[in-house]
Amino acid sequence: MRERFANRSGSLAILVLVLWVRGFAQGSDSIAERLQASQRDLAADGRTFLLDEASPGDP
Amino acid sequence: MVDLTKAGYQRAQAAPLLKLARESTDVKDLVVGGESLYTLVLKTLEVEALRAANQRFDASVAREAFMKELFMKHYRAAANGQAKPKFVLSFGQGHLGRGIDGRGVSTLGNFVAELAVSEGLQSFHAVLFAAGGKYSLGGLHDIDRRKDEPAFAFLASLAKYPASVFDVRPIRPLLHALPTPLSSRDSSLLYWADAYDAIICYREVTPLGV
Repeated sequence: MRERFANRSGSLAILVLVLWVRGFAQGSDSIAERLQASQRDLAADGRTFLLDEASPGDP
Repeated sequence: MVDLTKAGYQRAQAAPLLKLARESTDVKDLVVGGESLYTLVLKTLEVEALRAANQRFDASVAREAFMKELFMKHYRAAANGQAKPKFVLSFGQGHLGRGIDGRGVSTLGNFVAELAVSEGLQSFHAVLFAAGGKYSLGGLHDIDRRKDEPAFAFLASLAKYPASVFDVRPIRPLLHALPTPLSSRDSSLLYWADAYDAIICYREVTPLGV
């Protein structure tokens, strides 16, 4: 009985872990999906950015 | 000052040059970009003297503070007796994000964002990065920001165009809902997505005039 319970707990833990990993992976995937969906071609908008001078920055 | 810089300027000369500049009484000044050239030189030397003394953080704060001073001078002049002015700022990558930057400095961009809130206006922050190519600064150099920021490497891997614009506002809530600790990629994405509204990835950049 104890063995069966232990086995079920193990299965439950694996299930929870799988669900958590899936959830985490979905979170990361949805970030990529949202970024893909928001992506635009800057040139197609007829706009360009020219960096006409370099900044010395913080050397 | 002319004698000191006869053979060219070196940062180590900043402190003695600053002393001389402060002691100068007979200055033939010019106005450059709406500001006294004398003041610009003085402020530059103040920052340079701090850098020469290895006070990097103080130098960065002083530099950013002067940017804010200059901005407010122009903003107040433009706002004088008119409707609230619209303006575009163009600066190096670290200066226009919201919040505290990687150096620990409250940037000009953060100052402008908070000013916009206080004025009942909005600010939009965009950052550009290069995933390859060359830039010109004291000679030609390779540039590939994918190596510096995991977020840039990720965005470059998604980029479909030579110049791709990503609206990162929709991913902010997703990033803030991720379980911690964040991966290096998501941690980097969170920083840039909080600081900026749009990120533009140039697959390859070429310097002007080359």
